[in-house]
Amino acid sequence: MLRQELKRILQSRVFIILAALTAIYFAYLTASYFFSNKQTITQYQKDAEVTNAFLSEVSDQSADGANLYNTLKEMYLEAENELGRLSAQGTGEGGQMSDEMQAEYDRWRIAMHALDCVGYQFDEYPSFAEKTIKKAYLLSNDGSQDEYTIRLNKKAVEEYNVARSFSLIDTKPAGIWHEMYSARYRYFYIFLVFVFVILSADIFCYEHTHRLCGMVFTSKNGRKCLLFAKLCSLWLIAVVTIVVITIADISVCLSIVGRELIFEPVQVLPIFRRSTADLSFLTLIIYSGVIRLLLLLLVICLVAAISTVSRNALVSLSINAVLMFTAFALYSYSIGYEKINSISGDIVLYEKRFELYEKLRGFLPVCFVNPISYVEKFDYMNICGYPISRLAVCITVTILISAVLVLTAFSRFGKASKAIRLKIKKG
Amino acid sequence: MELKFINLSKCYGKKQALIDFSATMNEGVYALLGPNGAGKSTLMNCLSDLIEPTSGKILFDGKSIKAMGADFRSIYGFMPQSYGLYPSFRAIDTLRYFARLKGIENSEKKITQLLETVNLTDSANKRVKGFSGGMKRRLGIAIALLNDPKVLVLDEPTAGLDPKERIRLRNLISEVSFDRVVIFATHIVSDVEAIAGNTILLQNGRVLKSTDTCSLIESIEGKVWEAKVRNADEAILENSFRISNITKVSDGAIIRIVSDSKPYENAVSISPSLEDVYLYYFDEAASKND
Repeated sequence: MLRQELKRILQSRVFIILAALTAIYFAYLTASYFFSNKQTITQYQKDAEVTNAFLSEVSDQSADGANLYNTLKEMYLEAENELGRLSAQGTGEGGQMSDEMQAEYDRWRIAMHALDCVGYQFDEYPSFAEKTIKKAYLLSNDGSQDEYTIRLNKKAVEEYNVARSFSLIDTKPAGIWHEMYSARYRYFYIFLVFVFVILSADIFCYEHTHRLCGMVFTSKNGRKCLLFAKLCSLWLIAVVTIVVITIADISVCLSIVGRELIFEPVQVLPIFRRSTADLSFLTLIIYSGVIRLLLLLLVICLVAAISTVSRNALVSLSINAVLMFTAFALYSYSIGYEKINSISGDIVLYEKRFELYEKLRGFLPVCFVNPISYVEKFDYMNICGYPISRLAVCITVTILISAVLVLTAFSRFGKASKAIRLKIKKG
Repeated sequence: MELKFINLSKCYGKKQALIDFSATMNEGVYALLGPNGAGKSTLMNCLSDLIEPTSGKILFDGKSIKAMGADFRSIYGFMPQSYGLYPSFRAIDTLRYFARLKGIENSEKKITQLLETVNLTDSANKRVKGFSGGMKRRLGIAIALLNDPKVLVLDEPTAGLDPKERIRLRNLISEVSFDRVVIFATHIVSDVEAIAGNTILLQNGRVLKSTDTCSLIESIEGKVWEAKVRNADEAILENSFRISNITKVSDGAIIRIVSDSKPYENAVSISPSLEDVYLYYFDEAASKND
């Protein structure tokens, strides 16, 4: 039955279209990332070195964050003006930049990069009319407060007792590698979730949409056995999808960071320096694949339950899409920032919605789109006085929800319902 | 073998689609005859366990089909009025798929035999999306027959078919009806006349008449008339009686009339057909309802 059902699904038009779209998107992501990183990695390393050196120097001189920021800003503007002046005089011999101009250009680029890396978060800063610097983090020197962002003036420093030294988010080559996961592929997995919602809704409602209920559900195995075959087929497709993506991912990472780094413990990256997980980069990729697979399996169970109750692909698709959008919107909201203060109309202070984010990661399985967040630091929950890994809690929640959804689907699949009655009545 | 319906009723909100339907069926062909909305499909869907009856029960050999569950479905074959098939599958794949659904092991021999029975051997490897309506119907019959069902239910099996296909399908139903209960719903009277041993007339969810087809026809013996009428009288007769046929001739028309009494001076009594029965009962019921 499973083989027959799988064959049917693989031949269906919806599957072929969705598979093609997914393959194109994944190929584009992988190729663009592979080539863009190949090209920029050397420049990125060079920038990282000079910026680190600069920041280390300037942070010693800065009394607080505001001074650091102002120093960087002054340097940036000064270099920009100087570049403008030199540019007006001509570029030098043979179209090449003169040494003086090259030096100013380097200073300007370093200042700009440093501003980015220090990462103050502004909606907009008046001096940078066309520039908006976003996604900022401020790492304090005890390494425990990176959830809190900018407090740029003296008052904020006093009020919140923010540490006064600064470091980059991450500028090592491996940082690029990490970013590939946390930034680009996260959206791909959200895309994948919706692909599975569409595919599953079509498959679980196929008999109703194509007027096959009468023949299928009056067959001996046409109910539980068919639903089991449908679930297994979709789970199998999800497993194959994740395996293919993971293998492609490992291959790309190997080609970017090399064979040595992939077996290194993840703790060599600043972002993982407080991680208690015993993971290498290779096992991190595999772990991420497994966790995201769990999310896809849950999505399939959810669609199965809603489809068997609604018995209409469009209704099921709409309900599931709304649920997923809501869950992802909540997740997205939780990783955003809340405006906490505005000083002189010039500097805006934000704080991460930390508490909501931590709660959601324990109980909202869509947070599995970013599995790295569960292992990048010591991440336990206090449940009845016992420290329980947040990851374990979320996996348990996911499995429980999936079990309930599967039971619901089995209890409703092929059974008489109002939807069928209405359909017959109209007929 | 006995299939028994006991006081089966089905309501959709305030509308009663089936009211206290009771019948006992043994081996043979049973036709459910009635206009649209009579309750034929509702009855079949209750039997197929696709809808829950509001009250009453259905027993097969004394056991409730609801309690039998998969055991009943293993001896049950159903072809709905309108159904889809998997378009990308070939005919043979479709039968293999349904064979798995019906839990049939080693189905190849049976599939080959059924393809031959429904005259689809040459199209076995063609995709279903290229099939005509008649071919799909025949494939539907083959699916229903895959598990060699003891109870075979066919909802409007000949609807939308050309005469040749209809006759072929009718003959097929006759051939397979031996040793099983075959129930088919239709409003094509000639199909019932050709193959059904028993006929149940349904109107607005109620049974109007349930008997063997010959007795049903005999029941209106002496109530069917034929008369040659003048053009001027034709309209009067049409308004006053149930007319089952009008044939125009040069100086008037020959009219077939269903009536309890002699409708016209030169009218002669003739042998009734099932069409006359249909007209007699359903027109009467309609006028009562009015």
